[in-house]
Amino acid sequence: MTLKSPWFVLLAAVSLLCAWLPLSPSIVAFFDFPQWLGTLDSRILGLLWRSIWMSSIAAIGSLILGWPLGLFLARFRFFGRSTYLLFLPLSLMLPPLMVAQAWYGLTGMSGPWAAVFCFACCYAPLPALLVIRSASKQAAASYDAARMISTSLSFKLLISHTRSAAFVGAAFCFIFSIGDFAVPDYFATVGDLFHVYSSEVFGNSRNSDFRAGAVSSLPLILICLSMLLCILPWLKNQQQHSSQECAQPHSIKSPAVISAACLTVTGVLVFAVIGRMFFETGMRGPIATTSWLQTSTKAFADAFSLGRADMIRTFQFASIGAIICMVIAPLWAFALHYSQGLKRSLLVVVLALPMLVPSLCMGFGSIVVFNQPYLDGFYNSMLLPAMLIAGRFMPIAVLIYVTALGSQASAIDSSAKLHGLSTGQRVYSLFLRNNLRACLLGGALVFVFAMRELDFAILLPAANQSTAVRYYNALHFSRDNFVAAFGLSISFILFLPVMLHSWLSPKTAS
Amino acid sequence: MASTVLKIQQLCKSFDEQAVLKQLDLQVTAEQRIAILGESGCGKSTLLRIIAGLEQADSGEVNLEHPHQCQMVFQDLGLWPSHTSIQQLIMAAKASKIKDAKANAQSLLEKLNIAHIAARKPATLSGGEARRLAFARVLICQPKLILLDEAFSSLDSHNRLSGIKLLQEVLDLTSAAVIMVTHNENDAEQLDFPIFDLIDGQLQQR
Repeated sequence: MTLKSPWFVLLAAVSLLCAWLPLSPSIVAFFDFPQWLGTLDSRILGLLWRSIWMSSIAAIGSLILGWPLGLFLARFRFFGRSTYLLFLPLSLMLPPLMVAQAWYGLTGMSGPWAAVFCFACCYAPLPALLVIRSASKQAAASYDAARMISTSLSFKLLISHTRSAAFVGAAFCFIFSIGDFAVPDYFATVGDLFHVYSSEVFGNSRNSDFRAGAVSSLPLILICLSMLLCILPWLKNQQQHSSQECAQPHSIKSPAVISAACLTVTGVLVFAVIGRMFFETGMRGPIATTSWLQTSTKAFADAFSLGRADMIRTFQFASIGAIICMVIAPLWAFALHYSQGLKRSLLVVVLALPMLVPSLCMGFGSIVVFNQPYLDGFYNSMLLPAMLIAGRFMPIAVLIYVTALGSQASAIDSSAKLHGLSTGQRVYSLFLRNNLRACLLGGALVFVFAMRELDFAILLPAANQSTAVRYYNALHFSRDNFVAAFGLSISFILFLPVMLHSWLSPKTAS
Repeated sequence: MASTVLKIQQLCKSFDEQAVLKQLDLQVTAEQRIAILGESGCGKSTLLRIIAGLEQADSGEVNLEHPHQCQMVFQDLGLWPSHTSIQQLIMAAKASKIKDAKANAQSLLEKLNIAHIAARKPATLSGGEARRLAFARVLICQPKLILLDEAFSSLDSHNRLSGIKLLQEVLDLTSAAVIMVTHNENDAEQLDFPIFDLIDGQLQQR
């Protein structure tokens, strides 16, 4: 696909409209950066430093929880493995605020360390899932050769093989944690007051001059960009496909120990959160006259009656966003698959940066760009949040699709080219048909992430009527029964695509 | 009388209810070298993997006299892509608790005429060099039993001859017993190994 190809122009237009136009105020604000640097004081630097150390420790925590879990699930056969695999992505899909609320309820923890723990739990599935994916690509003979010598050597090699994947997962945890203001804000509300840098950005974005918010978000953007550049070499390697047979999970001498370890981690990440939230649906005050069951039933009834409109609205814009991603992701993946060197690196940055910058930037960027009298209809319609969803979460859909594309024999495309098929035919007829499952999975994940998106939804009037905003508001008004029931209902809807994917996936012998 | 390094009795293995190995018996004595011949998919590699402990049998017994001194050369060699040649040998030697791992590794590389690849990773090696390295990694563990899984299947007829020559060279360096599985009768004949046919899940000596 050349730069002059109409398909490339379409790709550029969608990226510009959905991602880079809303980010443009932040980019333009870069020119005010030297001036802003002059206003730096010890308070701002303190906030930035707190955000950095909190996110760094959260990333290390996600590594400690996720890496061993990923290794065990990828390599060993033991009781409950498929259940843990099914539940693993759930904690990534739970709104971080729900995880925060559950752990506050369970332990009464608060303050910066509570936020760190919560982030580590929320994002531990990232290193785990990337490690599973990386381990599944290890050549079987290479792994077995090490196993023949000693089990510890094979594990050592496996650790070395999955190291980059684990660190990339942790890097994503860092990026998502540093841009999140809602979780620290929650723990600051229930315990001692403290602030992080993203709260400062959020505060600035509430001022009538959104440029202040845009300028102050620049340090976070620069941190995310440098993180992206660090992980870029690994992302490139992900496409390399080995023709050798890949290692499969095998039985071990003490499966009960491994199963218990996985149960503990999954318990911390998922079961404790879900269990606590379920318990909270029926919690009663000291003067309550109803039973736990009656209170819980009423909480769920309220969640569905009061939150239904928000759910439907979120469902609508999340679906539109997911559909845009499913249409454009095959084109993006094709462009990435056939580009090399600097062009490829640039494409990756253009694709991935909108997802890595704090979501708030897209929110106030959209207000600056689209809140114009002649765009009134569009600004208040659900098309705007749908477009932002597509722009922000496109990398997820593309990454899944490009991996599927990479595992496909190059002979398929070579023969298509020799037969004179056009780019459009190859992308949407040949490849999409072969990789439809990957495309649907990408769309489903975009839908899931859209449902839990809070930061820009708070800022944009068109996205205010969403499940995440309703949850945030109800939590801050201490409507605990409703919040728990509403959170569980959202989780069930988020979990549906995973369950469906798990049921529909072809079962392998292993 | 030579001691028995491997004794297999009544070994059975099925995949998806299709029996691959049926009541299979085999005995290998120290320094004995045999070839197991069979068509693709008849269960040769499965048998080796069960002997190596990489797969479990449905029933039957596999008794290895020295379970930790059984090594295998895989069809696609199984070199560790992120380690240099010398690192692969040192790691293997240390894991097998061999003393003077570094000196042993260097001496073995020299014996197999691949001292020049010590600092290179598998991706940069030629097919012949990679094969020599795979043999070196097995030899450094001082095995009592070596399993060869279709060692020459990926080679054309010219390279197959040099591969066989290399194997003879390697086997001269060790007194280990050898079980080689192949679907090519010529390989077994050229190495002058006694041949066992794997037919219908059982071994029959010619």
